[in-house]
Amino acid sequence: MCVAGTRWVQTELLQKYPAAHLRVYAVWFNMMPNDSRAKWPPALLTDSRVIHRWDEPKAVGTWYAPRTLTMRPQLTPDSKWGDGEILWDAFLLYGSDGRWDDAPTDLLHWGRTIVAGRETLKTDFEKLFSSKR
Amino acid sequence: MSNRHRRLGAVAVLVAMTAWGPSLAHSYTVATAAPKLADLRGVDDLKTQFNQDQGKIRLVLLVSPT
Repeated sequence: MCVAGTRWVQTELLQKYPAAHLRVYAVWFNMMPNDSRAKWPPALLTDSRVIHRWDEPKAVGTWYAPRTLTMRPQLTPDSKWGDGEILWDAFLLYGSDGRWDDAPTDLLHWGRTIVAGRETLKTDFEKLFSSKR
Repeated sequence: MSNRHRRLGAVAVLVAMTAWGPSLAHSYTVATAAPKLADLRGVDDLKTQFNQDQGKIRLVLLVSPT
């Protein structure tokens, strides 16, 4: 599912908004039994605005999971999140004013899975970058 | 070297450039644009990058490779 979601981000968001003032952080980590760093798919998210990081201890997903309670108002309606210990196969979209001190601010929407949140992401990109296509 | 040989040599060079030029250029483009996977040095690493990119819309993806 992660692969399908990231492919969709590349083709339906990044390729369709090549001039959008945007940064994407792709944080990769093992979650499925067959996952490994060696299986990272370099051809999936090739846009130069994407930064790829390998997170072996799952630090970011673990950091976000308990904070999802306070992020509920921005959760997309199609999301499936049951308060697990590690947030994964997920997206978090932040506005340009956001700053991270204790936690990142200006969260617009977040969701799990990426595929389930496609309509929200698509609508948000249309609103944010309609002149950047 | 005769003029005929020179002309044949020039034609051969042109044929080679036409045949290989685009593929060489393509390889170069792919090589320079290929994404790199670096190790994340904790949540603070992401925090620092996030703050450096203030002014941009930011999208965090938490994903596994399969």
